[in-house]
Amino acid sequence: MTEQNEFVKECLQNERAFCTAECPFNLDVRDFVGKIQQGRFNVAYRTYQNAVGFSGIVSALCPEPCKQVCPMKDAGGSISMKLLEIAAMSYARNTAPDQYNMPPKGNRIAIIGGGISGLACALRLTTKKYDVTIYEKSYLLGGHLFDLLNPEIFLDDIKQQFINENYTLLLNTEISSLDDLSYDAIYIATGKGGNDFGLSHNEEGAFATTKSGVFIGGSIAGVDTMTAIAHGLNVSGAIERFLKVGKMNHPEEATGTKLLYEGIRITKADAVEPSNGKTFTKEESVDEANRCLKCACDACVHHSPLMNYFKKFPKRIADEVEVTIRPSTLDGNGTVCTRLISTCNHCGLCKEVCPKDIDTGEFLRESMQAMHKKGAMPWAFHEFYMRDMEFSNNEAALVKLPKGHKKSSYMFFPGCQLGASDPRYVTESYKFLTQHFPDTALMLNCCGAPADWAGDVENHAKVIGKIKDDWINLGKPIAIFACPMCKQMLQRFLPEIEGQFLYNIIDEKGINLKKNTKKEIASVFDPCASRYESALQSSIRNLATKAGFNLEPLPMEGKMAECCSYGGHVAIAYPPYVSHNVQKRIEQNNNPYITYCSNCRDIFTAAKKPTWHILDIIFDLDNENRVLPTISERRDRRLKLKQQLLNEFWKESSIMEKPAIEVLISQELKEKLNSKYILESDIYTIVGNCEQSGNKLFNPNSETFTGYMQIGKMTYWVEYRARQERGFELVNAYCHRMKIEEGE
Amino acid sequence: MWLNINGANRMLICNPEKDTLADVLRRMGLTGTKVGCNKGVCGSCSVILNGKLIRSCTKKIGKIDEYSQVLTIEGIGTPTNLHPIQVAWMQLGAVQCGFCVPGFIVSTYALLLENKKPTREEVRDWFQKHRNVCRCTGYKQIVDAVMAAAEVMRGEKTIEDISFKNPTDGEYYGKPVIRPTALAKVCGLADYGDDQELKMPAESLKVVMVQPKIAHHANIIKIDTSEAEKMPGVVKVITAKDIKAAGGTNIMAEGHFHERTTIMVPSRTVLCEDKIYRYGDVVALVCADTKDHARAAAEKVKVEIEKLPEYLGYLDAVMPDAMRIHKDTPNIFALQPVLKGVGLDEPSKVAEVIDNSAFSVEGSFFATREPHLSIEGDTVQAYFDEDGFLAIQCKSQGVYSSIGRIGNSVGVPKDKIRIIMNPTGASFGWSTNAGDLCLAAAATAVTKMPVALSMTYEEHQHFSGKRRPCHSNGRVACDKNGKITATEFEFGMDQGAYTFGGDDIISKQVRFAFFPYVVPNVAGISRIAITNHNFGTAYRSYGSPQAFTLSEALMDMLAEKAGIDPFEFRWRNIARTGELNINSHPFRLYPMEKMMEMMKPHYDKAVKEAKEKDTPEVRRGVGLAWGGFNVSEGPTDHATVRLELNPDGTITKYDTWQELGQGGDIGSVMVTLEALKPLGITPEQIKLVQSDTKICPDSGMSAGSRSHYMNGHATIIAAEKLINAMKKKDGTFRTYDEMVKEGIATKYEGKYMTIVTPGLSRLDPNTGIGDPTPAFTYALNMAEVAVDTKTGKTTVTRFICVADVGKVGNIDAVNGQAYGGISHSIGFALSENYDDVTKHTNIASSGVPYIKDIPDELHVFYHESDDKTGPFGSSGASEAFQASGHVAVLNAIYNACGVRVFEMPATKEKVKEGLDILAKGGKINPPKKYFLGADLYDELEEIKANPVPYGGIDFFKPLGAAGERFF
Repeated sequence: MTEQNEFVKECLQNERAFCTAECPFNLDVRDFVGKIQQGRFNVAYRTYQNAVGFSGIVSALCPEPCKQVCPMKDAGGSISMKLLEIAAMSYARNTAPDQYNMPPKGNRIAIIGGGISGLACALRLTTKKYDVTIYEKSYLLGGHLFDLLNPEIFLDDIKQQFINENYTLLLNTEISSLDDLSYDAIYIATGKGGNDFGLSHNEEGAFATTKSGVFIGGSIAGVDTMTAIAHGLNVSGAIERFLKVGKMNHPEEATGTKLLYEGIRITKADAVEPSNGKTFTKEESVDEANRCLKCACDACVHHSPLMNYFKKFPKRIADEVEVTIRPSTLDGNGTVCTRLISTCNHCGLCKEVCPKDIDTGEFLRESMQAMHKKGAMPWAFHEFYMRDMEFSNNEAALVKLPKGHKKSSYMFFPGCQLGASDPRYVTESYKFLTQHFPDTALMLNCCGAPADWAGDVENHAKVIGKIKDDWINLGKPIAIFACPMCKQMLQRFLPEIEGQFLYNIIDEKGINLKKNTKKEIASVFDPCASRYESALQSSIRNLATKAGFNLEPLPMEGKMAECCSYGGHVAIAYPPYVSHNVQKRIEQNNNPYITYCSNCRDIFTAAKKPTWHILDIIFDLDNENRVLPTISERRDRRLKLKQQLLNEFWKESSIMEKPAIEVLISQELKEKLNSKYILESDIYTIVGNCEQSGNKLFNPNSETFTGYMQIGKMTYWVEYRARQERGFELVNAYCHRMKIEEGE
Repeated sequence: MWLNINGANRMLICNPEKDTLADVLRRMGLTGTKVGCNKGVCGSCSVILNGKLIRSCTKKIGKIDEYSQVLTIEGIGTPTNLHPIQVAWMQLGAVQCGFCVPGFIVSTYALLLENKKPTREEVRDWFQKHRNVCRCTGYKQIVDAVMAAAEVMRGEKTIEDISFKNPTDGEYYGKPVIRPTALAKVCGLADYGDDQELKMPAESLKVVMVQPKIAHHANIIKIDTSEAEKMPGVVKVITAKDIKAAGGTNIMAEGHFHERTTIMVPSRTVLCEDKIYRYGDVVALVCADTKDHARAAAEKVKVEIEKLPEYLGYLDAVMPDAMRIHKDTPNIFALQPVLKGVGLDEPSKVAEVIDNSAFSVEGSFFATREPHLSIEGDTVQAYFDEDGFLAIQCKSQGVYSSIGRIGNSVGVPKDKIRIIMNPTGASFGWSTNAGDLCLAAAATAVTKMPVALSMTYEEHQHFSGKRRPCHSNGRVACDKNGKITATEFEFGMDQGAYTFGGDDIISKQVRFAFFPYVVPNVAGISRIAITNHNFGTAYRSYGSPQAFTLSEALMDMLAEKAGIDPFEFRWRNIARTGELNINSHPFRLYPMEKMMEMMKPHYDKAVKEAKEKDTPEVRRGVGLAWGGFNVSEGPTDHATVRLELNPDGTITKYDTWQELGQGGDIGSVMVTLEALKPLGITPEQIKLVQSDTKICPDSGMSAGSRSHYMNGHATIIAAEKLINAMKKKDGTFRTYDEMVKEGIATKYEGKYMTIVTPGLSRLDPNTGIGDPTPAFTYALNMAEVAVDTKTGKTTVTRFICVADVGKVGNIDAVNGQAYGGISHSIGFALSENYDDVTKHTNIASSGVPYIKDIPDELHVFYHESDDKTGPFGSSGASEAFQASGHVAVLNAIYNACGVRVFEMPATKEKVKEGLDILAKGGKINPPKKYFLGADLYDELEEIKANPVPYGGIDFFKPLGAAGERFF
């Protein structure tokens, strides 16, 4: 694990379930129950048998400590592990022990005590082909099991488990001193109150005594029967380590679990009762197993849209990123999770829901930067929005002190998409603000989110630097944000700029809200960037209520706010992911939504979910049935907005340039261009370029020209024909995420 | 002192205590005398001392009298005045990697001084006695060369008679055109890695590894370099910390590419920091002014460890309670099933078919951790070149892929790493790995100095990867007519300490088990597990010998059970046109019937002779084995080459067809000659610029039997472009000057991608259905053996192979691969092993075959299918020849004396043990079924219940879930 990936160290994904932590055998209950759930009794049995050594004895005697810690205890009853174990044994196709063909190991090991702990140790060692001798002072094997169980059951089980293995058994042989024994290792399992040969436990390692090569465990150590068996199974590991490395330092078995009950989502279900009163049928076993929560911490995979979609935990993501950032494949440069990295909405929900505050989103942001730095990030994913940011910060930008002011106390920071969505959002808001605070400057540009999301540190720094300079020139005013994302971005990178929300101000100052006479029911959809803005969230609710709405909460709101799926500009990188998530967001209930991020609003509107922007309500903008602007129109609107603002607030007029070349684009094609993120202005440029340079191919069949041009990093192809009167008509257009290399 | 060297008295300065004759000669610049093993067991350092052939690496200079006469390769002949032995070596295909050649030529010279007219057997006896080892050729061509040279020297033939003449019709393809690198090699003028090291600038540092060799598995508690740093001449002792301080990750960029792999992040570090995972791991590097200083200081690095229990084999590592070796993954870290017929509905139905068939057999097998045993060990030089590139001169089967695998480990960005191939003493697969490159690169990155790292043979043996050992269980059944009805099998491969490549090789067993037969119902699986033994890496025939170890033995066993002759049994079961392989796809070509027809007369003759010659003392037997391999790395394979027209009308070819003795040089010439045939080019007019990543385009690895196929295709594309550019309207061609004058480019690149072949797909990780490669090679082997019943020793008396590699591109080069592959197969079957790290430290103790271990009667007959997908009808050479030859030998032993060796190698002790049991009327108990991780059908059930997304041709697709792939 590299240092960068250490963020996952605290992750609880692989923590043992509560039951497993209680189980003397550490049985992986999630695995076992999972197999029963699928009705695969045979493999479930193998899992069980491998964990406990003597499945017959254990399933008969186990007192089920797991039941005490089962979260289902108060939700219908703890899972009946014992009955499931018996079911696995009964319904397994084959319960014969596995055969282990391997060369004899040569080492000789003595086990003192033919009780179940000694036998368990013998079982493990003989399967590995160690030469084992068991000394038993009585005339038969089994030790204290005789007090607990019908001998038929346990003698059968013992016989069965040893069916493929050989050991030397010396009955009626009491060992009084270890000095007479010449073995490579010895296990003292003489049972409760048995002979310890004057040896005590040695802290150096599990089961170690003060005498080298001699181990002790089982009931003599004061443990219950189940633990005694587990000791026997585990001591074989300690013995094997001693034989291989000459040390008694076998680590103590890890116990307990860091798993938290709070992380477990409990669904109440009544315990399945065996219809015959004793054992489960196959169907009953599956039903009972299906009640099992398979306790594991999976809050992130449950909640985070990204992790939920890909079904990947932080550790897996960290690994995939690691091999993506430092890749190697048989053919060069495979990028295992470029798409995954580019699909993060940066909404912050993963960290919010993680009991350990693991911030996978931040990790992905850094990964994005690392990928960008080494030039491995497919620029195609972010090219459009990087250009769009350029546009917002140049042609469409407007940073100005209010007329007649040398400096300002406030500046309105509407962000780039608010005006692109509807210019009136900006003009109306600015009007309101200047009415209350006449020295409110305007900073109309982009907060730099596209660069941050693209991992483009260099360009991002430029944007932030420019904002800072402008802010100083404006007299270091307090920023008033309309977009929660802008505020989040600026607060993160320019914490010196104090920020407030437009909506808090409106709520505070008051505005004449047009009451909704129908008392319509609606739900507030909190944008993800508002997650920790509780004052903002309540202002929005206040305003909506004042406007006459009856609000119903959404399952995920406030701190649990989910991203509409615009965040991170992931739509180009992975369209199906976006539509999947939009659908989930809008299906939370049937109410119309009220939101306060123009992107949430536009994305939901596009998905046919009735949604208001809070400004629609505040300023009573008739946006109920509006048609969403295309990407080209979004640019036009920003230019128009700038013009309008200059006109209205500064009395300056400007004229928009018309494209030099006239290209007719049908409505159908406009829609296609919009979906492919191709700007109409680019089409004009390309056709103009083809005409001017003559770099075009004529197709005599269709009487059309085909040409291409690279703009930014994207190559665009256009097919067009000359119109009879004048100008041209677009026939088709598409773009490639590549460069055309000419010649050699 | 003075020595008379090659006729002249020469004065030299030496340390009589320490220096060997080889040391002194090499210091004098006579680097034609090569040092391979440095133990006197390989013969590449042979020189003639006072008329007597000796091995100079073990001859202390202090034991040599003043003015002794020494004859080295340089004294035998020069490029302008070649000795007939040298000519014969070049002309008769006896030069491959060439590392042993000077030793052999000197040895031959000594032989012919004594015996002007030796028989072939006398020649063989001579090389056996003088321990001349060749790992490439299989020895036959060497004996051919000696016989021809002797004829010339006796005046019975002229040099002309034994030389290849350029054909007048321009038809070169298939003919034995001489390798461009042969001349330097036969004159001792090819400068291999150690020769490069000697010729480096004086300030270059010598790097010695600290390879503790104290444990297979241990926690590192402390690496104390303080004492070493104070040793004379030491410039720097590098540990993992230093690599990280220089900006490296210290982690090799070795990816995993199977949907079922449980580990993603590479497991191997350049220098071990916290843990030792295998015996050959390296914890530090000592850089000093001289090698002796570096070695002395390396001894002083104190490595304090805490030993951990280790698993040295697959069976231990997969026990249900086994501890994890790498904490992030279970020891079994990947598996690949294969299902066909009823197995696709329900795997366990295959068992039912077997149970209900007329005849069935079962067996469990073990294939050895075969060491490559190239004669040259591991030697790397590194420095920053004039453009600031970290240049690494080395042996590498993939110069570009090596850059990928070095990744960011040493802190030099990938676009600033340059890999250059040295003239190279063979590899057979081990140099697909870049661990050694990382070491030298780290030394240069940290010290900023030119460095040379040359391992001792023992260090190399423990450092470099090996063929993965494999345990397997299988059953196969047939109906009463001897037609196979079904098979079930499972393989467990020991990947060793580091995981890279393990999830790739598992596809081979589930493709090549029962190749090229028709098996209607199949349930099988291949698994791979981490252990603490040396890591598994590529080796010729990569993963298929393990498959054939099982399937070709079971074929013989089933034939016997059904009472059918093994040849006839195979004949009944080979695939005929349209029939499907076990991956439910057609075999690409169906030459099987024709090939068996070609083998039939040889088989009949062999069986007859075996019967006639069989005696109670020496039992004779015949064994068959079908084999084959794929061509290319699969659906994403690609290769690029460049052709440039020079002012003098010659052509320069730029590529990275890494030449390791297999013929990367001559292969490239052959395809270029053929592709440029319209220009009337001769071999002399082609200049090769190869395997330097700064100037050559990426033609991919020399692996996967892919080079001829891929490079050939790419060359055709580049040649078409060049020819089109040169062509005038009247059909004649422009000269260079005309091209320049008309502003036409003179350099053209051709890129070929396997993806153009329709229908390619990786194996489905849930079913094993798939067709990953565009072509196959096929080989049918027959071994004839004699077993000495007194000792149990097996001698292979004749070996015949019928092969189909498409059209042969250069008969000498393909024969070189064939005979070489067969000789490795024989060694694999009988003696080769790397298991006991204290014993298997050099080529001799690891069981390399000497000349008398390989029969002089090696015959390969080609059935030349015209492979329409391949360049000029060729497919690929090499790996088919080592896929299954070992099983032919093992089957022949059984046929001879009734002893079936299930667990390789078939040493004489093992055969003798079996003979003794049989002699006492006993029965040899085959091994019981191995436990390979879980019951076969339980595992198949598990896979069926937990399917993973399958990416088709592209592993990356399911990871991203849909749509495109990004690079």
